[in-house]
Amino acid sequence: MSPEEQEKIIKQCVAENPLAQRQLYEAYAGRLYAVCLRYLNHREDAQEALSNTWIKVFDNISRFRFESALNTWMTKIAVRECLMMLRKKNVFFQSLNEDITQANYVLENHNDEVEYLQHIIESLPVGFRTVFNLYAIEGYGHKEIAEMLGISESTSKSQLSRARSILRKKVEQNVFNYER
Amino acid sequence: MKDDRLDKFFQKRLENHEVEPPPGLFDDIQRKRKKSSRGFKPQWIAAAIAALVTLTLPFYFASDDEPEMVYTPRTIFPVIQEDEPHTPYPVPDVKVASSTKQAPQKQIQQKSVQVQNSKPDYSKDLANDLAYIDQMAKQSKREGAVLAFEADLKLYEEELLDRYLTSLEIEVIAEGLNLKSENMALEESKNSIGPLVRKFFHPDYYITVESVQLPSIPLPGIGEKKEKQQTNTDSPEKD
Repeated sequence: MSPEEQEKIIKQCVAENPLAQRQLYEAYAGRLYAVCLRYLNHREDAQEALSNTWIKVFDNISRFRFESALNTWMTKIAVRECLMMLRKKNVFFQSLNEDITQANYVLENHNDEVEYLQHIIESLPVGFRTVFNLYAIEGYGHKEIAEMLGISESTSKSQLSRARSILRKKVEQNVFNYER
Repeated sequence: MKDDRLDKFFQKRLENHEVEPPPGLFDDIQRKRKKSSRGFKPQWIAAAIAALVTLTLPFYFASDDEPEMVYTPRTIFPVIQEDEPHTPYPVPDVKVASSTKQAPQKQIQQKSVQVQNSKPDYSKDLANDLAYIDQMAKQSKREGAVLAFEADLKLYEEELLDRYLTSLEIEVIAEGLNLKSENMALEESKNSIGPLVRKFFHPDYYITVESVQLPSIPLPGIGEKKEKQQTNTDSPEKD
């Protein structure tokens, strides 16, 4: 979608044009759903988070000022929704101190590399997964993560390092084109 | 460096990764949005409350100027039976004034009775009441009843309770006197004003109305005990 096209669709969405809303949804829903799945690892929860994300996107699209990419803006909303859901379920704080050995991994050999990567992130314990997603994929710093999750910076760092060690092992075993 | 490379590896591959959402989700989202927009929004609720308050305030203040209660005078007398078991507070059962018509009336010299309002003249009712009280006092063979009655009258005469009595309803006073005289007799508080005063101020007995100037009533046989009564005014209770 070109920037001009995007701007036109956004303006139509502000005017509550259902066709434009559907167009926007079809362009970005897959990407946002993947984000939700990466954080929640539960189809129904991810669908609920995605649904809430789109409601917020359509309700607040008039506030989008084109200062950042639309995709970034919508991803931020989706991440916030996922974190809210984790907080609501209280799973994040319960599993922050979860031992790696207790984590239930279902690792299968996937032909599709990206799907495999998504899968191994989803199978991480929720604490590791959240911190890794926020730091490595979304690009937040430890200070921001600590504030967002209500944890200390050192906890954020330790969660990230443990997540990395698991992921590295899995990637080295199964992904051929990974440079060690 | 190793860590950064791992992060970038994941970031590069996952930032544009897509998973197809379930079909029908868009319609679901639109339905939810329509539903929430139809519901009451907080700002609408706040506006409705503000409008309601604005509309009702003038009525609220306007009603302050008017009397709170429309008083309809009535005459109520308790039915006093000599052998009836004593019922202390609250006020015992009363019957509406039909009995007062049958009550024997007696000519009583009244000094002055002034009801300072525009309501109907109660002097006739007052005469009836006083006659009834007088009769009750006389009929009672118990000394305590007479003493209580005398004590009430004494309080009137001396204007000890002026600021309270000015707002008393004449009928209620009459009723109260009867009740008190009976209660006093039954409690055997023969020479004590204390309990009487307490009952006198009991809110169950009174209704606030216009000021009333009470008559002083000469009662036969009471004068002799008056002196005794005065000495006991300050003592609370005495058996």
